[in-house]
Amino acid sequence: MTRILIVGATSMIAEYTARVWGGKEVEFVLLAKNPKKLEAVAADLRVRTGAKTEEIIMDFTSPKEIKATMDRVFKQSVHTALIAQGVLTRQPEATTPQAILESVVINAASPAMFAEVIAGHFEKQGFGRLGIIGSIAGERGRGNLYTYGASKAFLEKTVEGLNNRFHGTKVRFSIIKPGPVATPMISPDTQMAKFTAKPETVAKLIVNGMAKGKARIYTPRTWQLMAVIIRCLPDAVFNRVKI
Amino acid sequence: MSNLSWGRLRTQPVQISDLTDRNLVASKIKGSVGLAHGMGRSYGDVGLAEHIWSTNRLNRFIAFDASSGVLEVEAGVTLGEIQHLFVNRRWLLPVTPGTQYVTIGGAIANDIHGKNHHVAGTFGEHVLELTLARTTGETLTLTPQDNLFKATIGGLGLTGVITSAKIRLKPVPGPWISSEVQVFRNVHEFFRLSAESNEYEYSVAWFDCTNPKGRGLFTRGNHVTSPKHPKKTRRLNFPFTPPFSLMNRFTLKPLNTAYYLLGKATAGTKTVNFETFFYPLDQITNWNRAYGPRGFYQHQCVLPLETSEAALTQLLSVIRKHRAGSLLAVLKTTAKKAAPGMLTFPIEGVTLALDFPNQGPVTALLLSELEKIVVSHGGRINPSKDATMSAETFAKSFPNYKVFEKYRDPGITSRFIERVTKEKP
Repeated sequence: MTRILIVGATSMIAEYTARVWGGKEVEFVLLAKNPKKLEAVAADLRVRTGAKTEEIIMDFTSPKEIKATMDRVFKQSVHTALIAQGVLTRQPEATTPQAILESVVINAASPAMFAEVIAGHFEKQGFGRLGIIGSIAGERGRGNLYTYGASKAFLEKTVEGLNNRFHGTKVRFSIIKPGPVATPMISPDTQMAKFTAKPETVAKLIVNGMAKGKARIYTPRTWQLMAVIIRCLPDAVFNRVKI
Repeated sequence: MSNLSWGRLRTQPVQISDLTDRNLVASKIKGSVGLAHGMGRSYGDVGLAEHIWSTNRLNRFIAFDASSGVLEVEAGVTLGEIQHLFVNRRWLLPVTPGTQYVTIGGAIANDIHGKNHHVAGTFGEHVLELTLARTTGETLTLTPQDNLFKATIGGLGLTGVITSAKIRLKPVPGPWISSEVQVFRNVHEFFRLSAESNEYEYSVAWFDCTNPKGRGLFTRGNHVTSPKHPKKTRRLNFPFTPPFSLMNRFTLKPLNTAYYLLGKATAGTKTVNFETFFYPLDQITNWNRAYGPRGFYQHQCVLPLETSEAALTQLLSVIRKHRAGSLLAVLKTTAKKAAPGMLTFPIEGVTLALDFPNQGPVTALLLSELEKIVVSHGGRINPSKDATMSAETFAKSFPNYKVFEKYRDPGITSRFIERVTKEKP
């Protein structure tokens, strides 16, 4: 039996990834805030994949609750974990101190707290794979997405640090960097469609990337090149183009 | 937005929003105007409106009872997903059309039928319960006794947004179907073969509509067990839209002849995977691109049994007169079945389906001539495929629409229904 922990299990990427992981020999521990949404996701995984599910409703921002819940979940070993919670905050909508605090708490602090506790348990059990959903928005601070982007960059550095700390062990961390996800809103006949990936494709890339223990997983892969280009643009150019 | 209808005919732009949580659909659509939209496999404008609500993310399984075969799913789950997940558990959908890339919501709203209509009727007969969200903000759970249920089956999405449904699956021995192909030389022989095929669960025919007699290939099949292991099906993709239709006056005759001769040479009985049997066209992704940038029309009609042979002959002669033709030309007999929906399309008789590349007014004229013949013989045209039928034809062939109208959701409309219910100026 493989145990898979998913934090933020009702997020679209987490849900599609779980569908790929699922199977008769899999037991999911699913964490979310909204009980009705979580039950819908869990029932789907049970019918679709034959997996067992355990559902936990909790507050993702409470350090105490995170510690207590993780200690309880890790009474049995966990093979794979995914941290997927996040809220897309954009500027100029989010410019009040309150909005910035809330954004950083859910997009940066919460995943980092989970990652730290999970890393501790992985160290004890001697193995484990953890994926954290970052974003292509973390490559460069953009005028309409910098709080969100900075939080995702923070997660990337956290994963880098964890991989550095756990080098030479059987514990691995991956930062997952999705580009725009294809939705029916983006017509497959347009130029934009070339840079998007279907959630099913994103999910497969995550599962394969984590199985290989990749430190960085770009979905779709074309964004790896885009990321390099975006990072290399001099400020003088970057500040002129609105991407 | 040519990808939103399968015929790729040019239409007005469409605004799309996603539905993602079945419990929130009613509150999301409350007070707004729009239409539910699934995989966009309807050929014409039945799935189009100024604003559409995409159900593609409403794709969760809800429950399955392995003893009774009753499956509950959200409306955006596709038939293909169900077939692939359940065939290994020895269940399949009781009714499936010629493509697996349609959603449950779409299958119900168009009350689709398949190669087993003479045995199983339409999809709606196998729906035990459905949930309907209305723009009034209410969410209703409906069963076959409810009038609103009967309006929703085949209701073209006009009664509300279907958010989930309970369907009874069919037990099967496995993925295999014994498929028998027989050659027929004319339409008369097709009718004879159809009459002789009652012990076959599935039957369908392709015919060469460029041939004066209407020669063709009759396929019939039954579920069987087989020690074979399913091979991974290879999919081809039609990678781009050619600048003109590849189906045209010069290519249709040789293509039809080649298909006929190939079928004739390989005729006989074979054991094939259910996918190969049900969904031959799905093996080429985006095959609709072959019709070029202007798209194509599908004409599908059902002709009453008594007049079907005469009507068919007349239809084929008009097509030849126009020097038109179709590579996809499908005949299928339909049986006398109680229609589960007020606007259910099939009646007892024969259905005919043909694809025509869009060549502007010439094609419009051809379609309207075909339409007249169909109506004069007491037949009707399938709204799921249609893009041109007149208001008179719709009123005459779907007299139940008057009753149906009372059950419509006031906030829901489609380009199709606006077109076919337009008052005469």
